[in-house]
Amino acid sequence: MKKHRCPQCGTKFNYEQYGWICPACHAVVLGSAEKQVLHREQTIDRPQQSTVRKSGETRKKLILAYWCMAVMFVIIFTPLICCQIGKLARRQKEAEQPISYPTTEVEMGETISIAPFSLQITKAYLPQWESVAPPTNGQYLAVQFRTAGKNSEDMFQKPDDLAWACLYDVQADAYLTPLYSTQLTGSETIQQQLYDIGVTTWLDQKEGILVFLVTEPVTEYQLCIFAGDNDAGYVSYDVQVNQQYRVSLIVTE
Amino acid sequence: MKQNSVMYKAKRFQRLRRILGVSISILLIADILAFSLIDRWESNLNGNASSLEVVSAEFLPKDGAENSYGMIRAQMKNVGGKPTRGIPNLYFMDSNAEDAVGESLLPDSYYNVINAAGVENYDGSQVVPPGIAVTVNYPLTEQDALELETITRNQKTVYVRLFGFEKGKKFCVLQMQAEEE
Repeated sequence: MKKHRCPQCGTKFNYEQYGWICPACHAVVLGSAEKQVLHREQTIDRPQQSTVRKSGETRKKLILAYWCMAVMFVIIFTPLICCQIGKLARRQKEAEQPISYPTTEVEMGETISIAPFSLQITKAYLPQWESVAPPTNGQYLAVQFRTAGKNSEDMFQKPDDLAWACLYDVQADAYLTPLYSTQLTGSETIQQQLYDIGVTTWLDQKEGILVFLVTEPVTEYQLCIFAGDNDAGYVSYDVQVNQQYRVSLIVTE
Repeated sequence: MKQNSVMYKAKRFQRLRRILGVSISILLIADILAFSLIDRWESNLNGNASSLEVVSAEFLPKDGAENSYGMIRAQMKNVGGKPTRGIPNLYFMDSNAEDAVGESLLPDSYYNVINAAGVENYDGSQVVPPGIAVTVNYPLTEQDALELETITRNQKTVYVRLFGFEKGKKFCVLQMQAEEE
């Protein structure tokens, strides 16, 4: 038998079983009150049941959406993660191996092949720029280079993606990187002028000039080109070196 | 009979759905964990941790010049895949324990004269390319010379290492030229 609420205290009980007297508050359920209770249960409680049914359906939809998203996530990202792990493991293995690469001696003006590019060190001189004040100590040494290659015009692939240069002072056993134009002058106008004549820090131009600060007097210098692959980072120094070229510089005044 | 078959199929489908759900949940958690691990691994590989190691070091006693207390000449090699910028300080000590503290020596860097003149510090432009070994002199002060003498008097072996010491990197034993003579 169905239970109904007591119109006075709300306790649910079987009217017939308890003789229309509430077991909790002992209130007598009259015929009119019983009708009101039955009417309310039919009219008000029914929409509540439908709301419960609706919220159950929404929950099911949410669960389904969650599973769809989870499946999509797994399908898309699992292969990507596996590829990335493989790539990092390869890099880790390379990093743990002792570094060794061949060194090739090159003459000035000779073409160096860094596929798909080529590089030539054309001139080494002590620059006399009117706009740039000479250093308080030491002196500037400029090294002029020329690059070429079928993709050299492609802004997304330049020789400096595959190689970088530094100067080796043989007597001092020291390796020096090229100076930034900001280290040469504080003036933005002069920095732009230097940029216009090709002063750069990387092998990123068709015709460029690398400037080094060296101690006086001029001694024996070599320009070292470190070439390799660059799949490890975003800057030229991230090149995984597999070849070195050494160009003995003949410095002209 | 037909009802049993339907119930069996329903149960089987339910079990398959549960297995699939658990598998996807595990994969999802594994993917999320892998993301953070890969990120940390990649940043470690791209990190600029010093990869210089001292290959050999020898003590050169004072040459008779005024204010000269001798020097340590160290040959260091870049064992990493990237160039290291700047020449680090050298420590000498009487122990090769990982937490040993020693005396720090400044390198006689290429740009010492320029830096001493109060011009810009160009030390960052001095590099050690990957796979290359360079020789660097570390002049001793009077205090350093006394410390070194104390160690050699008490104990024969002097260990050296570079600043930025990482776990697993080797110490190098300082060769005392004076003793050989």
